[in-house]
Order: sequence, then C-alpha cells, then structure tokens
Amino acid sequence: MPRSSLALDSWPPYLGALLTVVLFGGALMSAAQTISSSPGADPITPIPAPAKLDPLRVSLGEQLFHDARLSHDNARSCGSCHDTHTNGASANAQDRGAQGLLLPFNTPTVFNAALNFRLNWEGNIRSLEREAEEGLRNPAAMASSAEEAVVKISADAAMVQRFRDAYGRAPDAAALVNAIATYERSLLTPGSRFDQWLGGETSAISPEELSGYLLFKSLGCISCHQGVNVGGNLFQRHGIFHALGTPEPELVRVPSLRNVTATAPYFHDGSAATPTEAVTKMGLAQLDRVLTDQQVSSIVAFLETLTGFYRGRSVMPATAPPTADTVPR
Amino acid sequence: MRLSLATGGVLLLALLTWLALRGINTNASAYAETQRALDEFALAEASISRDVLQASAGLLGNYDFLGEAEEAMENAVSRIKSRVEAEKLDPKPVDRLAAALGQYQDLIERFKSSNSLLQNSLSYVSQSSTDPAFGALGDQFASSATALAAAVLHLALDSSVETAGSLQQQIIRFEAQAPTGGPDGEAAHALLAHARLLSDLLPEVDQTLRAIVATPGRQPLEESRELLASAQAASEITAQRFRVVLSVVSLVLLVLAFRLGLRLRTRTQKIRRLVDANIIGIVIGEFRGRISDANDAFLQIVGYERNDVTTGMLRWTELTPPEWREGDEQRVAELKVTGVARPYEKEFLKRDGSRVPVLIGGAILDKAQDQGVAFVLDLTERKRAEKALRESEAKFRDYAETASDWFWEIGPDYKFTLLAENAFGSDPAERIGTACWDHALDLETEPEKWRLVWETLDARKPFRDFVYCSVGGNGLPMYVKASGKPVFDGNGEFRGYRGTGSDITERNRAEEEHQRVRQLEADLAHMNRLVMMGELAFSLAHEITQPIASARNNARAALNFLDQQPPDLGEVKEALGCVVGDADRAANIVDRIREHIKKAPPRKERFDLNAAINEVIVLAHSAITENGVSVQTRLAEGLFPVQGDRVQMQQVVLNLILNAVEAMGSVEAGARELVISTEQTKAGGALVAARDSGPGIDPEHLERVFRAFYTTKPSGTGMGLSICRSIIDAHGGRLWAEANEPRGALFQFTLPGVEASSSGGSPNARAA
Repeated sequence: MPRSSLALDSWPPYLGALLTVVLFGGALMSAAQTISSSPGADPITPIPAPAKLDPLRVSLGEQLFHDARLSHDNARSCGSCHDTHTNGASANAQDRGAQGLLLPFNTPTVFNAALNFRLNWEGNIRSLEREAEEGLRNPAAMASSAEEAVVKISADAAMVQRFRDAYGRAPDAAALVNAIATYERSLLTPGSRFDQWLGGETSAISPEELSGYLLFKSLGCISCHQGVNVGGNLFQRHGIFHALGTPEPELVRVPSLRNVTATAPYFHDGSAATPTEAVTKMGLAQLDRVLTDQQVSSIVAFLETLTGFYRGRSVMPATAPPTADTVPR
Repeated sequence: MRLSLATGGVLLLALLTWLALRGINTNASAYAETQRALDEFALAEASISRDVLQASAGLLGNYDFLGEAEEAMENAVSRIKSRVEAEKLDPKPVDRLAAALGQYQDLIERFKSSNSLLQNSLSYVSQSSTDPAFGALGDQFASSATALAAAVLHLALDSSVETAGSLQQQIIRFEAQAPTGGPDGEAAHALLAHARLLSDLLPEVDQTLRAIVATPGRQPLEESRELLASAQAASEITAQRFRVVLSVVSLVLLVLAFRLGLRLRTRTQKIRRLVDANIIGIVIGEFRGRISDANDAFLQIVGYERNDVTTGMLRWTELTPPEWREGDEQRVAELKVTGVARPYEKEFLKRDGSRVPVLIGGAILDKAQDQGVAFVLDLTERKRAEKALRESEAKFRDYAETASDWFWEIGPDYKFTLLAENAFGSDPAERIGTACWDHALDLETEPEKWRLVWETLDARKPFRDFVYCSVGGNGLPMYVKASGKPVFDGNGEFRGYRGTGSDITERNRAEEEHQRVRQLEADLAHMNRLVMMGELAFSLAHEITQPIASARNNARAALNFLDQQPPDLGEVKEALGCVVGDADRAANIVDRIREHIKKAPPRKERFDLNAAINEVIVLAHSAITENGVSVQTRLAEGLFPVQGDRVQMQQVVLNLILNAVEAMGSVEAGARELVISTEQTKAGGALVAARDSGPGIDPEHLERVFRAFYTTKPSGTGMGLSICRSIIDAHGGRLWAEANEPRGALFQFTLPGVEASSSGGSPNARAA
C-alpha cells in the first residue's frame, strides 16, 4: 500500500484524533457491550439465526401476509408480489397494484429485508412496521389501510381469536402491522454456501467461486455491497460513470445481494433480466470498468453462493407467469 | 366514630405512603437509565467517529456497525426525550440533540456513499497506476500515471487547495499523454475518470469527516446531561426533605402507637376481666357461625362444656332454633354495616334440647375476618317474673272488674291520677285532675269531717272508711266510702295516695230504713207498754191505793196516839215511819209505771236480769193475784249480767206474764200456775222461760202467735208477741214458743252474754 510509505509528520491532524479514538474506543468498548464492532472484520458477515420471535405472532403475521382481505378490493395480499415460496418477490420488472396501476419500482425481495438498514429502493422507510402500514395505505399497492383491514378481519371470529391468542386483545392496527413485521423478521435465509465458507468450511465454495469473491472485492463491488446483507446498509448514487436505468431516484439504498441470482429481474426499474447483465451493467456504470465475460461469470459464480435457505428450501427464482399484468422484460 | 377512625387510618396510611414515595426519589433509577442512554449516545458517537475514520482509511470491513451505532443513538435519544417529557423539563436541549443526530446521520450517509466510491476509486487508482500496461507505454507516461496516483494519495491525506490544484495539474498532464484508443486508452480513460472522481470526492469526504469528528451531538448532549442532572439533584433534595419529614412523622407515630398499644392492652385486660367475670355470657365468633371463644357464663346459659368450644364444634347458628335464624341474619347484616347489633331478644337451644330466652347484642371485633363479639343475658328469670306479674295483673284486673269498689290514685296535690272504670258511676276521665272534694256536697254541712280528712292527708297517714257525699254519674248525690294509704317512691318521696272507694248510697238508705223501722218498733213497743199499763190500770190503782190507804190508817193512828194524854209519841213516831214507808211504796209504784210508759230511745246497759224480772212480777202482782194465779220464780243464782235495754226486757217479761195470766183465766182456779225461770246458757248468755198451765197453743200456731195482729183476745191489739220478738231480735237473742208439759204453753227467750252481744258493736266499743 502506498500509504505505508507516508511520513507520520505529514498526516492530517485528524489522524491523531483517530489514534486517540481507537485507543480510547477500545477501552470504552470493553465497558459497553451495546455496540459490537470489530474493526477490520470481513466485509461480509453470515446471516445470523433469526431472533427469538413469538411463534403465535409469526404465524398470525404469515396468515395476514397472505390474506387478500388486507387489500381494499380483496384481490391482493402482500404475498401477491412477495412470493415467499420462491424468492420473496416476483418475476416482474414492476408489479401492478390496485386497479392495475404499475408500481414505480421493481419489487425488492422480502427475504432478509429485516437486515436492511432502510427499506425500499428509496430507503425512505425505517421499519418493517412502517413499511407494512405504508404498503397497505399506498393507493397503488393495497389501496387500503391497517384500520380498514382490522375492520374486515374483526368479522372473522377465528382471526379475532388468533389475535387474542397472540396479543391478548381484539385486532387493532398496531397488532396487525406488528404481526406482519414479526413474520417478516422471520424471513431470513441463512445457510448459504458463502456463509458456510465464512464459518470456516473452506470446501463450501469452489476455487472458481472464491476467485469470483476476490474479484468482487478487488474490483470495488465490495465498497457498497458489504455487511451481513451484502448491501442494504448505505445509500449510493447510481450511474457514477455511465447511466444505469431510469435516472430517478438519483440516490438509492444499495440493494442486498443475498439470493441475488434468484431474484431477477434487477435494478430499481427491473431493467436487467439476468445476473450476467446486471453485473456487466454495474461494472460499467458504477466502476467505469468494462468487465470481461470471464470476470462477469466469475463474479456471478460467487453471487450464486449467496443463495440461502428458507424453511429448509433453497431460495429459487420466481416463476414468471407472463400475464397481461406484467411488464415484459 | 368507626367511620372516622377508618378514614383517619386510611388518611394516615396515605400520608405515610406519600411521604415514603416522595422520599424514595423514584427518579433515581429512571435517572440512572437516562444516564445510561446519554452514555450510550456518547459511546455510539465515539464508535461512529472511530468507524468512520477507519472506513476512510479503508480499514473498516462494512458499514453494518455504523447502522447499529446509529440505531443505538436514535434509541438513546428517544429514551432521553421520553424522560425529559415525563419530567416536564426543558425540551430544547433534547430537541437540539435529536436535530444534531439527524444532521449527523445525514453526514454519515453522505460519508458512506462518498467513501465507498472513494475507496473504490482509490483502490483502482493505486492498482492501475502500477499497471504494467502503463509502463509499456513509456517512462514518461508511466511516471505521469504514478504522479497522478501520488497526487491522489496526497490529496487523500491533505485536502488543502494547493494539493487539490496539484492533482488537477497531474490530471491535465496525464490526460495530455494518455493514449486515446485501444485497451490502453480504455485503462487510461478509466484511471482518469477515477482520478477526476477522487479530486471531487476527496475534499468532500474530508469535509464530511471533519464534520463527523466534530461530533455535532456533543454540545446538545452535554446540555441534556446537565439538564437531567440538575433535575435529578433537585428531586434528590426534595426526596431528602421528604425522608426527613417521614422519619419525624414515623417517630411521632411510633410514640403514639406505643401509647395506644399500652392503652389498648389495658383495655383488652379490662375486657378480658369482664369476660372472665362471667357476669354476663360473652361469646366471640365468626358471623358464619363458628364460635372461637365463650366464657363460662355463656356455656352455663346454653348448657355446654368448655370442651365443646375448644374443639371448635360449637356453632351459634346451630344453637339457634330455626325460626330465629332469619332474625339473626338480619342482625348480622346490620352488624356488618353499622358495626353494632342492638340488643334483641331471641332463644337458644340448650344442649338438652330445651330453649332458653336470652337478650343478645354484639359488635364487630374484626371486620376482615368477619369476627364479632356478643353478650348474652339469660332472660329465664325475667320471663318468669314477667309471667307472674302478668298473671297477678290479670288477677287484680279481674278483681277490680268484678268488685263494686273501685281503685283510685291521687298525686301529691291530691288530684286524681287514676280511677277505675266503675268509679263514681261516671266517666273516670272527667274526674282525673280534680280532687275528691271538688265534687263533694257536704263540705259546708260537715266542715269538721273534712278538716280531719285534710289533716290526715297532710300528715301522710292512712285513712279508712271515710264517708262523704259526692255527685254520682247520674247527677244525684252519691255516698262514697273511701279508704287509702300514702304512696312513697324509692327515695321516700311522697307520691300521693292510692286506695279504694265504694258507693254506699244504697247501704245508707237501707240503714235509714232500718232506723225508721226501729223507731216504729220502739213506738209500737211504747204503745204496747201503754196498752199493757191500761190493762194494769185497775190493779195498779189498787196497788197504789193500798199504800195510800195504809198511810191514811197509819196517819190516823198517829193522830190517835197524839190525841192520847199524854200523847204516846213513841207510837206516833212509829206510825209516821210507816206513813213514810207507805208513801215511798206508792211513789215507787208510780215511778215504775212512769218509767215503763216513758218514751225513751233504747239504751244499752248492763243490768241484773233477775232483779229486772222481780220488779216486773211486783208490777204485775195485783193482776196475778186478782186472777187467782200462783207465781213461782226459779231464778238462777249468780247469773251473769246482761246487756241491753232494761225497760224493753221487762216489757217482754211483762207481756209473757200477762199473756199467761189471761190464758189461764179459762182454766179452773187452783190449777193456775205460772213459773218464771232464768238460767245461764253454755254460751255465757241467759235463758228466760215462762211456763203456764193454761190451755196451751195449738202446735200449728206456735209461730203464728208471733205475727203482728194475731190475737186470741177480744181486746188485744195482736201486737204484743210480735213486738217482743223484734225486741229480742234487736238484742241478738231469740224468742220462741213450745208446748209445756204436762199442759200449758212455754215461752222462752235467750239473751247473749255481755261478750257475745257486743260482737256486733263498733270497733271503738270493742277497743274500749
């Protein structure tokens, strides 16, 4: 590293502060367990086991997630766009909501959404509860509201009982969105081969896949796609060097690359149909690099290892029913 | 009282609780928690500063830590905020803290975005600047590529305007030398693009870094910390004050409680003594029925043993007969509400199955445990007394209702306070409040009598048989006989009189009638005597003439003796002495006749019956001798004197003699015998008998002869024997006729002795 050749006296003054902070930070760390940080750790960390969740609430949330009564016209459920049986999203570039309205962006997968620091492409939602609330209210999505859904649900004695079991009270908006969010918190996909490798199983990934990972790092993809969710923890401009799909929004929350090869199509506008296409486009737009086919396939091979498991089953691409409602890729 | 006590207790408890709560400084733990939040905020901020610096140096693996730290800061701020809101403190410092955090997060986001590009480009520049492809293009190009990379790195370390200018020069220089086509051109273009990006990013990131390291949250954090600390200090001082007050109040209460405990103990001991004294039955138990304690007096009332209590088998509900249970429930309900059950009468079942009447009352002992204490009084004796009293009253009432007498009561003012229904034959209510003399009719006619009565009353002496004339219910005079005795209360205070009264108007009238008959009888007797004297007139005249003639003869003889010369004075004196004797005899006869025909009220005196009879025989002597009757007297010697009217008694005897003389006129002379006898009876009285030898009386007419107007004599009035009988009756004796043996009639009468005959007299006479 060239930096190592630099003289100490020419360091900017804040490096002194850095040293101080590092030294004192260590001392502070030992005192406070609340913030766990391990400087120099691997840029990618394995998906943790889901936190302990109330099974009654999870199960209620799952039922609600797939309950069409949550939409104003009783036509769609959350699961209509977020197919938890496949990839937690859909095969469409953009899904249609109420009255056939096109949703503005490609549907992100609900798998591991709980690990993102912000939600949605725009990153304007901070919590799963709020996301559920907004999703219900969005005229283009469910065109309903938590309150409306509660009224409908309350007519169902069995559902009312489930609410009582899980929350000790009759259905209300807070319990409804909490149940959905709790369910979503359970939608983690641990056990990917890459996570196994991170866990020390060197044979979990092939040498080719490993070299794809190294390339992923050396090219600078890792700059944004890092952390437990391989992305999802910062905002970034798109089209730094060359345009990438539609210009809006200018700033997107970096998407997670977990299960990425199973969640085609790609980008905020769903403009990339395959991983190869997406990797190629990303290299040019964000890194100003024209990647060779070999580089692309090596990276895609690495990305394949990020596919995890939900309920013992590997996350798989959504079957794309080529209906009139869907926008062709 | 009970309520106010409970309220007082609750208030006291509330006060102590309040003081204790205020003394605890509940803020302490909340404050510690807030302090922790403040520390966490500072820690997170520090960790972010550290991670950011590491990230800018390319040493940070990923940004997850930053996200976690941010979350921790958000969390801390919201905790601090909620604390500030709860404490109603100045919200501005926390609002500034939240704003600073927002600003901080924006900086971090900007930093993350820029830094990731920066790191990427830096790594690209450092890689491609040493790319062997560039070296092949010539030393000059290679050196300019290296110079470009060095300028970039320099800028990374020193973002001054000069360094930025130098990088711009290197970029221009490199662009001028860079190949334009082919793979090399492409690589050169990319290097250039990254270098350009870096020349923009480096100062920007540097600026962002400075802003982040400046930690904009520090100032408002310290403000918040100070704010909370001062609030905490204030609340701690308040809490301390309350703790002092609490200890003082507790100390005072402790002293009071100790004193109260002492008093309570004394009282408990008193109650215990009362229980053990066994003056009344005391039982302690639950409302539901279980008896937990009872004293011997109670056990005695219900006939159980102490064992029955100690085993806990005794239940007062089972001691109560079924018909009283409902009443008991009402009392228990009353007890629960008011704390006391007023005494009431009920019955308990004794062990032997009999019932015992009791008076029971109670009070709550322990409300929480539904415990009460009851006192029980055995009413058996009282019930018996009540029954006896009721019977006595009924008896009394019966007597009062059936008696003709009435009861009365007067107060100390002598006015009637009570009068029986039958009093005065008028509505008793009309006389209540009046004195008896208010209705008296003889106040003026008999003032002396009333004066005596008032004296008696004022002396509080009893009186008896006081007779006065009042007005009856019919408005007519009513003679009332009253007796009474004074009444004094328990303190010896005079409360009036009570007694009886009766209407004696009828009795008085009968008395008067009787009196009149007696008068009539006396008159008849007198007339009878006159008649008899008339009948005796001839013989009496002869009787009187005889001493008169004798006196004349003696006087003549005296004269003769005087005429003798010398006069024989001795003979004269003797003759004159005889004259005096003769005159005295004549006077005696006249006296007796006068005595006999004199009309005088009957007298009661002691007299010698035999002497009286002899006088009568003398009086009737001429009549007897004229009719050739021989009279024998067999008068008992030493006869007790009798009591009565001597003249009337002689009248009876005279009647019997004259009747006998007359009756024997029809029988031949020589056989005419009359025997008068007296003898002492066994009862101490006298029996007088007159036996004749006349024709006797037809046995069928033995009683008829005593009737008025019965007569066998042509000249008789037929009243003689009738009057005789009424005279003897009035003297308490008896007169009857029998046949005489061998012939003639026998008339006998008895007279009671002095003692016996006085029994009908007045008490005063007896006392005398």
